Amino acid sequence: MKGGVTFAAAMAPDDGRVEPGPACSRGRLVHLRFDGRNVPAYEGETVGAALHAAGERALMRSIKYHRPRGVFCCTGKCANCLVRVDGTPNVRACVTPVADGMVVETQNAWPSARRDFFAVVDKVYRSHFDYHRRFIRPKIFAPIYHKVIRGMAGFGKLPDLRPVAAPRPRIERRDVDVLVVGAGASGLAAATAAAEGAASVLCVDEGDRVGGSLLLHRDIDVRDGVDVADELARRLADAEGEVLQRSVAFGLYLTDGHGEALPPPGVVAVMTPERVVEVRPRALIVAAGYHETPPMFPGNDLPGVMGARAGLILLHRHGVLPGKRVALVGEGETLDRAAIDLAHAGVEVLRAKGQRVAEAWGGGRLEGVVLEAEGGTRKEEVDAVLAAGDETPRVELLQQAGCRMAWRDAYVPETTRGATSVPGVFAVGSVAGRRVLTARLEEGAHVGEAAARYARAQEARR
Amino acid sequence: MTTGKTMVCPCEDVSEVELREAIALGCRDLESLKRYTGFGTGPCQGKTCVTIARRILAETVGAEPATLGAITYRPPVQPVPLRFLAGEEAR
Repeated sequence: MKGGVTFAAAMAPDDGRVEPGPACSRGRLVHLRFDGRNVPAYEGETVGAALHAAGERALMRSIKYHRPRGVFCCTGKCANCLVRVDGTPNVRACVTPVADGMVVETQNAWPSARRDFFAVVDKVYRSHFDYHRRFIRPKIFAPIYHKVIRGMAGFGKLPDLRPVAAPRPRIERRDVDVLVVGAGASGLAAATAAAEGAASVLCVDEGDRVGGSLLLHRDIDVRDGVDVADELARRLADAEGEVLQRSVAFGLYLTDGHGEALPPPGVVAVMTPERVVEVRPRALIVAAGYHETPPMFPGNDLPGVMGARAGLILLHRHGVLPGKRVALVGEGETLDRAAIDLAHAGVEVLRAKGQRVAEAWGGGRLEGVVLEAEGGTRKEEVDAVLAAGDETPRVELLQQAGCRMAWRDAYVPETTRGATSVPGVFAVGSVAGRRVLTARLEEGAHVGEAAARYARAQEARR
Repeated sequence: MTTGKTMVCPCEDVSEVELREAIALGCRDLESLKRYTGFGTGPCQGKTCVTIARRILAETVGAEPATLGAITYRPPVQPVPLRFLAGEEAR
């Protein structure tokens, strides 16, 4: 199927979008206000995806140099798409669902992120600005400098004051046999196996639908990744496993509120859209995946340069094209997939294999890249770069649990069949350095069974 | 045109040149490099820049990346609205 992109109707909502696939839940057409402009959007999309589809690339300006920034990770982890939404600053556009009439404004920019007067700072300090050694002399002027600089820097403006009608949400406490952090391929497989192993299972997932990268893979051993995810989700529900969607495990504590030591795996603090939940699991499985790391070349932060997975999220989860002429930089499974899927959607794909990006250029957004190979350099006009660089495993919770780490191109936990050095704490999938999807599914199931066994043994001991 | 800076830490606008200069000034470990340049201290809390900084530092000082260690990720690793934390205590 060729994507149903209509180039003729320039401002029609379908410009920049394709027909929704099975991983995309496109609802009814609504409208956002973005810096005073009307932007068409579909329910089910994020603010970031809708703005991207409308060609709005610069969503904010950076803290010091006021450089334009736009969506990079599409997972709510980097801070390149912080916008003001209905009077609340620093909202991550890439994970915020759209609502009709939502008022979205750019941050750190005057008059707007597209053209920001303060971007002059970027021109004056062409290489960098060392705040330890600039504007400190003469001493009597330093307070004045600092006042001006503080006025120009920062992250957004204070929220609009309004009475808070909602009561403070009560912090909830949950005891479970097995807590699984992340419902991607590994986490979902682990949660399902643990629940089928007769353990009470709570699974925490940041997305609005379980499956993680399964939802971005159209074929796994001739099956659609979406079908694999749906089937696992069904089995998990049948085995009475519970999933908290749009929820983030934001910390692991080995002491309680009074400073008393807790046995591992301690308490995991989870933020749902409504409240904070304190989860005390017998066994913890961390399947948190990885962060995409920015590629390194001049202009690597221009709006339009994003992670390879981010591009697939836009395409498959939102039916939004990352760009119309896209350069793919780096190597790896995700990028191979992006090359196939984007071409299929009618995008002109430039595979920069064996080449290096010497630089990217653009004004308020990416306009092109200079590619460098042994034979010389060439300029290519592109409106997006999808980059596969280092993958940074999301080991934050594992580090907080005190797991011993090993170095394998990145910090990953030391594991033996999924068990870390801390009793009751397991790690599986990309967070443990596993990359191949089918292997992650299989290993996830093994680790889920092991965690359920561990939880049962703990229960028997009490 | 936006200038050709290579950003190591987009949150805090720390460029590669700035990082290298700080290393030249004597920041020879991740922690002091972080304290001097401010990389990893923005709203993303160092989720990816530490990977890049570690590599650049390792190349510059001729160390194995594995010997440079990690930075400490303290909770919360994701911003939490204060309203949520001000809720009544768990029972």
